[in-house]
Amino acid sequence: MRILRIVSAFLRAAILKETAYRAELVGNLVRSVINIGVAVGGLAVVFSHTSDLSGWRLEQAMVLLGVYYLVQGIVQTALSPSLNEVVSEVRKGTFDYVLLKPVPSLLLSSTRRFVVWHVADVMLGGAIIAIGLIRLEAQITVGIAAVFVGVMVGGVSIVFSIWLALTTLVFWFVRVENITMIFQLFFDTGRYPVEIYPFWLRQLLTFVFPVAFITTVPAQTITGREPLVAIWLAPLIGALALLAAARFWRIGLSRYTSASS
Amino acid sequence: MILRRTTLAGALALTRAEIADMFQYRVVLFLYSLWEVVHPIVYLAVWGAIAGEGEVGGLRLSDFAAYYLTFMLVSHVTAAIEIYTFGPMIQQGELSPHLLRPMNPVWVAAARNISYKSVSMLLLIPVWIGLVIILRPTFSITAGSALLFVVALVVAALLAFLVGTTFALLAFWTTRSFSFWEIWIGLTFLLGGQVAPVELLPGFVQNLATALPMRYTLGFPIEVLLNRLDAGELALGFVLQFAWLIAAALIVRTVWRAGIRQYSAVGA
Amino acid sequence: MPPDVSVRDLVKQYVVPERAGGLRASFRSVLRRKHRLVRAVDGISFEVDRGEVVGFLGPNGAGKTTALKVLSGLLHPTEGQVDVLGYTPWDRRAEYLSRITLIMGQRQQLFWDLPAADSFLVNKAVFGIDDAVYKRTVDLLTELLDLGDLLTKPVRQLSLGERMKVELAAGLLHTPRVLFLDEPTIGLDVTMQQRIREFVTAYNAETGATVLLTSHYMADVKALARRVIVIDQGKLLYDGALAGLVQRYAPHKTITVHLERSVELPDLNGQAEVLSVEGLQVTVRAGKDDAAEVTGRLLAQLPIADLSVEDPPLEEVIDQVFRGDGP
Repeated sequence: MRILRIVSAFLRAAILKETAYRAELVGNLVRSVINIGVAVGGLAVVFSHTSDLSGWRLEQAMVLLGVYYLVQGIVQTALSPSLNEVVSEVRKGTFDYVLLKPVPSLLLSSTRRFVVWHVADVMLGGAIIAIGLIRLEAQITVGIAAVFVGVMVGGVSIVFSIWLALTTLVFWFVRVENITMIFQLFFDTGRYPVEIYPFWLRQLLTFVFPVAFITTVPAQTITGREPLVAIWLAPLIGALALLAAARFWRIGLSRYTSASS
Repeated sequence: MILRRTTLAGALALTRAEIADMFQYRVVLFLYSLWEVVHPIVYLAVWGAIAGEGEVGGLRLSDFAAYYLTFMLVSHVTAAIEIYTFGPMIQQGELSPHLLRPMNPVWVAAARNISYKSVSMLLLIPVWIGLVIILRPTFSITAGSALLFVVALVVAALLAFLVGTTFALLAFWTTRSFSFWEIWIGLTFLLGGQVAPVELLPGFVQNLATALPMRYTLGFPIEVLLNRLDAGELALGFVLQFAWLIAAALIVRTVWRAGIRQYSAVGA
Repeated sequence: MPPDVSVRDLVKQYVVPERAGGLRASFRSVLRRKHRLVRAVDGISFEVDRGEVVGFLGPNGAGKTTALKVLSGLLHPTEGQVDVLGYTPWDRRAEYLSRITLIMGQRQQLFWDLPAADSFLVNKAVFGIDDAVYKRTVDLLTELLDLGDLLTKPVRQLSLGERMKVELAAGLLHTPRVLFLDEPTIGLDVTMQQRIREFVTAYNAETGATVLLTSHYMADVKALARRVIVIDQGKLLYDGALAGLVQRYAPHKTITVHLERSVELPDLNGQAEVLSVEGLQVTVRAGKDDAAEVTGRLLAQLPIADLSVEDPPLEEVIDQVFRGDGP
């Protein structure tokens, strides 16, 4: 309950801050619509030359793109603002104040900031998924929907874990301002099904840097495509990644508290 | 903007200092360079998956490889970073010290642009050479196309710089000029030759891409180098590229003047 | 010779957005925004002659910085005429900018990761300073500011005070004829403040440059400026000698007497107040107009070895001015 209160206080502050910028409100909404419109336009260009992209139809690829923006929106609304703050605070030496608060540092560090207008990405991503599914005339049973949600939670957990792990590096190397770009670097490959990539790259994106589990696998689940890997792997890997990242955070933190002057 | 002798000397000295400064950030720059490699790879993979052993619109896999490998270099040279360098300077009131010097601050942006590119290009080249070895492109380049390419590339870089500066200058009026910039980036993605070479765009979109400025900051030089254009298309392309360059220069000038009037009215 | 700086009826007005706190108010402000006009500078006129050092005094938000920004061409005034060295500042002509400098507290114009010498070379090129002049100026500044090897260390490694010195030097490389200094000593320790003050005095003597400075620290003004201009809420309250300011605004004087022997103090008729009695030293405070009479009475009625009449400290006077209950 207390955790909920804390998070909602942060959310309220975020809304207050964001409404201070009128241009940003309009700008971000317009931007989301245009970004996603452009991405769908890109798909249309690609599919104007084929009806089959490594076994994916246009509508299925649209669902995948929707999943991409859904995850992207979640990252930019809730994950990256807070964790980027950690990086800059450690650098400026003000991270100590976080440790002084009577709240678990990981919770505080990952829920402090929200950039609410990126919710637009989440909503538009959802809309594209819906449009794709309707055009596919997909039969979504409660069972399939539940599996989809489970797979998505797994995917988002993987994203959070990677992001957290990259952020944690700041406790060793103070100058890692843009380290999280590494995430975006790989994540951008997730706009398209992982099957389009050559074999070695596909393996890399499935097992080393599991972008496949973030976009391809959820899209496969809900569009009823032959799964790339066993579906139960997604939440399992998500959970393992979370545990590992949290562990890594604690190691980093103990290093910070013992080494900082 | 009248070019004074000391302005050029100043811009040169500034570029030298900026390059030295830029070297401090080589790790970050290397990451940025990698990022610029990822997008072309994604679209190369897409078109490669469609083309397979055959061809799409007359382009084979090795042609796509040549296109997107050239794309990496061209997009790097023509990258406009002003929204990240010049925009924040205006927003955070850091423009004042530059306004006190007898040199237009746009030169500061230009110096940073050039220094960023020269340093990060050094980091990008080894990656690029590695990719050429892996991807085996067929570059169909002639001496003539190479020569015209240099012209098209320089004009493209200038045009992109002016466009980037225009968007950065919006910071005089709005706190988040960044959103407007992303709209430009989106249009360049579709119409500039990123998602597909412009020749693969469907009919009317292709005409739109030919008329609008985005292609002239990105796709056009690639098409010139790889001999994808006939004489008529080449001539039209250069005419439009120069026309957009002049238009952009006039726009920057007007926006700068209005911006500085605004700045000195509301306070630095 | 015409004055270096001439300001007539200068007015600078800002539009500031207003917003109430709270979630609902902030949503409302997204839709409609309230604005308010603020007159930062409200009809100021003055002139400064060549070689003069003038201090701008005033509380926070009085309009000092705004005035300096108008003078250096960063701001366009709402009304009024300004002429500096024959130029209109906000035209921002290259020739004008080459003859002035504005140094603002901790404003960065140096490359953070590079030694200041590199930033100096940029300024040398931008201002078109030729080699011989450049070398002479750097030598002079190095000597006056005691820069030593500071120029070869990356700026980020310098202390705040060292950075300020280097920043000052960077702003003076082109040997400007008019210096606008906005809070040049803010945030520095007492020794460093002293150092900067001595530098400005020496620089003024050496080059004959005209100096306009603002400062929070009365000590700066006392040490540097013989003439002060007092601004409050955008209006000019006083322009003249520092001594005159005290004379005009000090509400009282402090009279200190040394007695030859211990005696009973006479009745001061309510015209003065005894501040302290320490052995044979007595300090009394008298209203400005009564000071002469009180002094006379003390001299007539007491066995006095020594007597001095002093003005109260400058800080107190300025405080008096800004509270608006001066004469």
